[in-house]
Amino acid sequence: MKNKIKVYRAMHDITQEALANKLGVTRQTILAIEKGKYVPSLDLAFKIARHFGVTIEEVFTYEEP
Amino acid sequence: MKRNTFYLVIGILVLLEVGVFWLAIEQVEPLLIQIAIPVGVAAFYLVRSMVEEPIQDERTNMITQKAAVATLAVFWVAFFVMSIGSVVYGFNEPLGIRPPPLPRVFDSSPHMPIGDAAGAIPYFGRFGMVQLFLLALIIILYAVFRLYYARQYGEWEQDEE
Repeated sequence: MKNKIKVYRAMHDITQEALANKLGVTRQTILAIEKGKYVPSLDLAFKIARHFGVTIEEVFTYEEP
Repeated sequence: MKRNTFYLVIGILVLLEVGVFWLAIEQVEPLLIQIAIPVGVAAFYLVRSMVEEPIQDERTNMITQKAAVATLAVFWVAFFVMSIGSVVYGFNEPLGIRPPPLPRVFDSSPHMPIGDAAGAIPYFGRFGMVQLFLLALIIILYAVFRLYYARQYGEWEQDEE
């Protein structure tokens, strides 16, 4: 699962810590998602997309393993 | 309360528990540590509820779940091996009936004296040691699996920010 969280963070000028606090998760979770180490739940994925004001498909892209 | 303060307080709590354990042994008073442990656990949850930053989320919960399942998968084998070894002593007589208690309290034979209150305490102590060993095994297994899954799910990833 690829994602563009880092890009959207840069566009919105928001740190991992600030994003994590707004979403109610730890900074390590945001970092792990960005690095592709952890695939978020649908709930968290929607929260991230909604936070940036875009659709979930714009942030996350599914890739065949 | 900040996350680092929380970890500091937990460290102090653990040291206090170790101190009480030492005191309980010195005073031969098991009630001391038996009270201190639940109080310590309650204090842990109380202090954890005071942390403002999130210290738990869906990723950490998943790591915990995976580590717990892996621990159980390994631990039941160890537990079964220990238990089946004990059962051998229980069934080493026809129909599992033990012979009468031996006259000496601390006999080196595998037959444990029964009904002797004076001799029963050391055997309970040994039973406690076996239990503590198994508990330590669970904790070690859990810690190892937790470290493994935490690493797998990016717990110590570094980022330029």
